Amino acid sequence: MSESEYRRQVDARARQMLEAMRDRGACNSMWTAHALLDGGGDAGEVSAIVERGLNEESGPFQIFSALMLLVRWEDRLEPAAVDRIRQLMTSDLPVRGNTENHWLMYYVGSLLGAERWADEELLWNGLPPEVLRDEASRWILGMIARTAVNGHHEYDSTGYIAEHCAPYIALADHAGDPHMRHQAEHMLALLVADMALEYFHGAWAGGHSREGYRENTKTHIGPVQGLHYLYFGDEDFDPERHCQGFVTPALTARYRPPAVLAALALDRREPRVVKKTKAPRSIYRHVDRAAAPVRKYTYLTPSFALGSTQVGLPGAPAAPIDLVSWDLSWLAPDQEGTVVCNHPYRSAGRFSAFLPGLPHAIGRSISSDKPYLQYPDRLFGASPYERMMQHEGAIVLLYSIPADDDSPYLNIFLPKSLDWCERDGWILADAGEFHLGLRPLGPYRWLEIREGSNANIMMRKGNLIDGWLLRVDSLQPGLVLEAVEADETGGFDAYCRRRTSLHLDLNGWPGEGRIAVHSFRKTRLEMHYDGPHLIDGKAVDYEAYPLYEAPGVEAALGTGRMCFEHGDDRLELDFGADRQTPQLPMRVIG
Amino acid sequence: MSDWGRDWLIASHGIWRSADGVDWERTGAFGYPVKAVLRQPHRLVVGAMWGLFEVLTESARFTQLHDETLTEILALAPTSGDPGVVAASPYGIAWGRRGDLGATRWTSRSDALSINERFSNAILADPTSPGRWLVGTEAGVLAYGEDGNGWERTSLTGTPCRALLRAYDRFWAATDDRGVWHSADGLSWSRAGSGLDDGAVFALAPAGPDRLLAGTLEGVCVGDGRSTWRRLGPRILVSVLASHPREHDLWLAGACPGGLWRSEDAGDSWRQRGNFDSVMAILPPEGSTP
Repeated sequence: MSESEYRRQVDARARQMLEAMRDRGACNSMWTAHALLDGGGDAGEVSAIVERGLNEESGPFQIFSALMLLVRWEDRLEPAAVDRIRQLMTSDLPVRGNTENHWLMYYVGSLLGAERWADEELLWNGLPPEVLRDEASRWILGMIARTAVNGHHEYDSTGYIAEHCAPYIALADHAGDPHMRHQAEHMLALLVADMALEYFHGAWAGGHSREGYRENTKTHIGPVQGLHYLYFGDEDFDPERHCQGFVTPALTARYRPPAVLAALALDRREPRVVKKTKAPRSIYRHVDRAAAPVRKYTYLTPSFALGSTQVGLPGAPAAPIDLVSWDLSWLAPDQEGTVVCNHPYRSAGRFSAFLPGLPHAIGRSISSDKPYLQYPDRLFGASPYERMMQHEGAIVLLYSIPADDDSPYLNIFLPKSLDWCERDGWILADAGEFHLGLRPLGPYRWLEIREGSNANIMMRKGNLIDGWLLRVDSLQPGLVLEAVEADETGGFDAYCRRRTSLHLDLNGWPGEGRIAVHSFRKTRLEMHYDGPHLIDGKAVDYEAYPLYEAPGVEAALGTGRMCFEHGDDRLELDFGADRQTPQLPMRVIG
Repeated sequence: MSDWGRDWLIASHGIWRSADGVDWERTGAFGYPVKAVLRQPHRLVVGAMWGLFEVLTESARFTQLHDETLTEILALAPTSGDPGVVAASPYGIAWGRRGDLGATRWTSRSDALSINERFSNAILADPTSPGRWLVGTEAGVLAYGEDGNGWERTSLTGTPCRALLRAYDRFWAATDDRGVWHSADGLSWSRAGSGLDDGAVFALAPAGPDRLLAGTLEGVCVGDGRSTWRRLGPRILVSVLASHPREHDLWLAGACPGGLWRSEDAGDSWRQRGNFDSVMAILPPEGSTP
């Protein structure tokens, strides 16, 4: 597809989404007011939105959205709205936050504000505008450089990707410095490539740095749904899912991604393996060594996607709270298309490992704000005791949980939509286009899990979580799972016979910390809990993972250069990485 | 004495001041979660979750001192030069240099340390040796010499140190699971008193010529650094405390959570003051320290 044709399609979807937002009356924040102004809406209403949206200590979400509104629509804003945003930049006390997306929104808003009010003597921080402009530029360009050589830090977040894309879109479209615009546009291509390579029927397959808020049992989650529809668009339009407020600035922007990324996203004719390297998790105490880089492996077929992560964590209590390390997804409504499992690690130390509060008090203080982070049946959030290996559609997960852990068990989520059967310890299902078998390691009980966002009244269907819960009561639980395309199996009965009869060696677990299993195609997976992962006897070299590896993609780690190719279309990115200059110090979490 | 010097100051959400420790008013429209405050002639230096700021007496305006490498400030100490402050944070200790247009750029001195050694909870200038610093880290107490000596490990290691104090011609350190320790030189440490042997201590303060206060998980403890510590008052996590420099029986204790507590009878009775959830720093009115 030509760039102009692709752009025409994206523009059309953007108009469709904006119109739906206006029809739904979903234009009442500084993020969504773009839809109002795009439709010729009342500038007075926007002034009220700005007045309502800002306060004396506005945070990154407000700072960015106010400045984005200003630079995109200043010719349409009333003087009152412009004055209020000027007040934000000159006399309020903005908050920088502590995550990567916080700082990105804060610094992009600050940069745009410092450029807009470059003639002011002093900004809110008591310093001339060029000081804030230069500080913001150093951080933004430094993070882009880090990302280009190490991989994204707050990687592949279904929730926060929009808060990454929108600020870079603002820079690409409106920054005064041509170099900043260029780097921001490159960064956007990288972020869209991240989405494209694991795009699966409107969902983002594979592991995620942040997919919290108790929705990770759903196939389609978070603001990324809006970006997916806008940029890839191979679904029926669903305003409920696609009209995401944080995506609105992207709808009225000039920026559109290169067409080749959409082509890569939509080409799912053949099964493919996608490998990625991502930046290490931010852990700043309670451990003896730094976290290692994150390595992702995602296998996508026409009918399912299985993704896993070598999270690189340095040991307990390091366990990022929103991290989702693996899942199996397929196209199904709501929560009917995911299998995932989790050890709901609940040590308070996992909070203080990356937050500065006193370890003695932080467990209760954080879980007062976000009680679900300490739920005993939590299905997201890293466990320091989890290990995994994957080969194509087969995955092995092992856990070695200390006896004094608050959660001496593993929770496995299964959707209720499938008819499950049991044979020789395997739990199997015919999912139509593919067949699925899983083998819990350890004694399990078949339970139910149901959680709703409005849980203070009787709940009959959990709008957050609703499915079967297999609780494996063991300090050394595990799971072997394999999904196989139905056209390979010779029918479900044949699949069940073969899957249950294939070699599964549990003699080394837990004693020797090892198990081995044959996949449907008779590939041998041998996993040592704290040792090598062997595929047909050969150790997997995770350190050899490039930045990206996928059909049509070349991107060596540490170079800042990458190439994306599909058919005759080709995109080359060169971030101009300078290996002689020290990297920007990492001071954010994510 | 600076204009700030007559009053008690505390850090909570913002900076609050009080002449008597009873009635409190916020200083400036500043509601950031503040972790550390340094009082200097004609200015306060405020370490907050989001950065470092200077507040000048005459304008009460907050001027940014941090850059893109400095955040989550946990402790401050005065030093020479401009901006005249050392900042401690989870990323280590950092020195700043004010340059063109008033912008301060910071350099970490902790990058070569291990992760737990880098995380700095407390910093104290050695009054006996200019340019030498004691740093309370998640790995214990470290000494840092600006004169090229760099980092030196002390005998107090393997436990987080959350507070450091210079009083009675000695150094004092509060640890997470070994109580209170003292040292003549900052390198060789001995246990101070008994009864807090495996307790978590978060704050230390002198209270008159021979009393030491310790803020613990179980409230305020008082002792002399040699004999048994005695627990007093409400059972709260006391994160900070101070006594009045002249009225030695007037104490303030800040809890996290639990708010601000005041005693005017050397801890026999306590009363909650103000409307604070957590208090992260207390500065008594200026006066001589023991």
